[in-house]
Amino acid sequence: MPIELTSLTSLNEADVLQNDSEASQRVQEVLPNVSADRGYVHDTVIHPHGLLATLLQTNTNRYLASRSLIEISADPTLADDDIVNAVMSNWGIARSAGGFGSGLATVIVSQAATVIIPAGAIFTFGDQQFTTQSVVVAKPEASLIDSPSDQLLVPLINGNFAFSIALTASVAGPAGNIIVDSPLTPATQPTNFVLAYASQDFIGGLAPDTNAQLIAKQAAGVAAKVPCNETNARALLQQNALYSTFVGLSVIGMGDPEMQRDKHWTWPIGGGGRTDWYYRPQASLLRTTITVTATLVDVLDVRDSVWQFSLNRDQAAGVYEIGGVRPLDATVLDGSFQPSSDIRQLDFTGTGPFPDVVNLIEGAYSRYQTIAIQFQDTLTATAGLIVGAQAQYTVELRLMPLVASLQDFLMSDEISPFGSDILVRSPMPCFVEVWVSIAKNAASAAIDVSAIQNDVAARVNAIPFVGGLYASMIQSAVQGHLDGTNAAVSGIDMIGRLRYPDGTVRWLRDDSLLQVKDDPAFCVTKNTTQFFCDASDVVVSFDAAPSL
Amino acid sequence: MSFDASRLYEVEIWHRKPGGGIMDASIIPNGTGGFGIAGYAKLVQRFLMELLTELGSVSFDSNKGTNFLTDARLGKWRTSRDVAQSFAAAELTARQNLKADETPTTPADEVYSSASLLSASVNGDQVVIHVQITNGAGQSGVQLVPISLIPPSRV
Repeated sequence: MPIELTSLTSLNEADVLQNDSEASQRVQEVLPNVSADRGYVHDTVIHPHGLLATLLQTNTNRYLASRSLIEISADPTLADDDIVNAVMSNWGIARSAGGFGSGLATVIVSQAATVIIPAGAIFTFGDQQFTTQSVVVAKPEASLIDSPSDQLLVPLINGNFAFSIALTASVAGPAGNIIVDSPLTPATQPTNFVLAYASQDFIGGLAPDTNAQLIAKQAAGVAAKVPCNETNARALLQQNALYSTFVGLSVIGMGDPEMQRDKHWTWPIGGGGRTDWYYRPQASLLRTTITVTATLVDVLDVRDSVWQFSLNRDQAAGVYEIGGVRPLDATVLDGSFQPSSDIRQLDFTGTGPFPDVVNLIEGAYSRYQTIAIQFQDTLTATAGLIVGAQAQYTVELRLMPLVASLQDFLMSDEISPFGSDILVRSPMPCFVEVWVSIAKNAASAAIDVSAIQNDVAARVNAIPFVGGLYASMIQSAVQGHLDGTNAAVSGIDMIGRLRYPDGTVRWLRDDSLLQVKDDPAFCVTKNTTQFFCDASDVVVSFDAAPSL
Repeated sequence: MSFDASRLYEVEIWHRKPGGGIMDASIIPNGTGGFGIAGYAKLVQRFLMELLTELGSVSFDSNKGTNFLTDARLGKWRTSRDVAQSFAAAELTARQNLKADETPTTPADEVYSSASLLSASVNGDQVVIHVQITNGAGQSGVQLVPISLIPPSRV
């Protein structure tokens, strides 16, 4: 929005008339015999002057409003973006230009024949467009691979073939963060095309900062960018493009009941020198897939076997759960296996320094956790297989990203404080399901269930470190989609699955306030716990309400 | 007319051609450096400016003008009676606007009293009206105002 008005027609009429009157008076003072009232002199000399004077005053006031933090805070929508950028730069704050959601997609074709996806190919999900940034050539045989853009077509159990492409949203904004398994439609169908879908949650889609958001960053902009207290910690993260888009941060230190790591000595009190950062880099849970090599540990039947694989600390950083496991030649349409065993440990091998962590209560969901998974495969034929055989599987991880990267950054020589260590953890997760009942009569307008699900999930994911989810928040998210006369929320039920760092699960359920009970010995309190909800976890049902 | 230091002068934009008669709109007539007017002539000019400005055509001054020429532009003038009807309505509006501009210090010969249409002749694309304008001092005069319904071609 340009600060300068250039059209005289957009001026305020009262201001123009006031300037006309003032100009008339001033002309009269200097030329007492010239009639400055309505007439030829007024219309051709005084009035144009009044218009230009009003234009100058208006532009000056707009400029002053954009330069004043008080004025910007009072109404951020009126302040010119360019001027606000200049003001905020005095505190080292830059406006985020937004980001484009991106991720991997799987394309399935019916024949073992070369498929070319050109750069700029368009795939759509709803009204969102995604494009490939480079050409991808999928070939049926490994011997044909001779270029970095080549991929091997992977045969699937249903006789089709699959390969991956990287897609980037065409428009910046959070709408580009589509979830895993979202179907994608190509603008131009590739050869032998069957279907395409997102093979992981897309991330990176951000809306540009508004003036109000820039103002909110100001406190952090002024603060020293060091890992000192929570304000400084936020300032440190906001100056780094990789970590600046976090949506939640809670720093636990000396004296906090959740801090267990500073009690590794004789006295039953905290000794300080340790801080835990519970870091939420994005609102929604990230679901991504990796390929692992599993080892056969037991054969139960002709199509029933038990396998095991491990995730090292680089793969398991920030991971909450395994979403599912499927053979490499299966797709999401074939379903997946759930882990039968999930054993977590900590890995501090290699060159340090390492934070002082002694058990999983202190170190789960951090950069240092490892995960050993066992699962039962009821799909793969076991004929000819012996214990110890290996096979590849696709594993869906559910995690908060950037935990490992941030940990390494904070432990670097340039950042790490001399007197303490820092441990970065994904927040303690409380996975929420919401059940909403809506009473409506026949006269109600059509209700967009998908929009309700998305809004409720977004509302839950936006709750800060307060440890409580009120049903009224859900209600307000739903109410905006209802015709207030013919439809109303008749019931809300909230179920929370709180996963402790040792793997135990506590269930929460309420219809008014879902509250995390403080359990500081397990590092589970309102200061360390976050709610997570996906649109598919919101169930909307309808009741007939003729009385409305 | 000699200069009177106690009066407020306006630039004259309508001049009587030599010999009287039809008024000519030109700020600086040939052979002159322009004229300033006060008193009755100034009132006549104010009234005619108000009458002949279309209501709402002036930006940031939506009350200025009348619907007199608007009616002409919309083709409502077929006979002299149509012109008379338009004038009657426009005079009321002009009176209101002129009175709003007057102050207690406005000289009596610049105070608007009344205006009446003596005659109107419609001749094809031109209308000529005779208007008698009276000021607060009892002075009155007849002004002959030609109005072309078709804009002149630009040369």
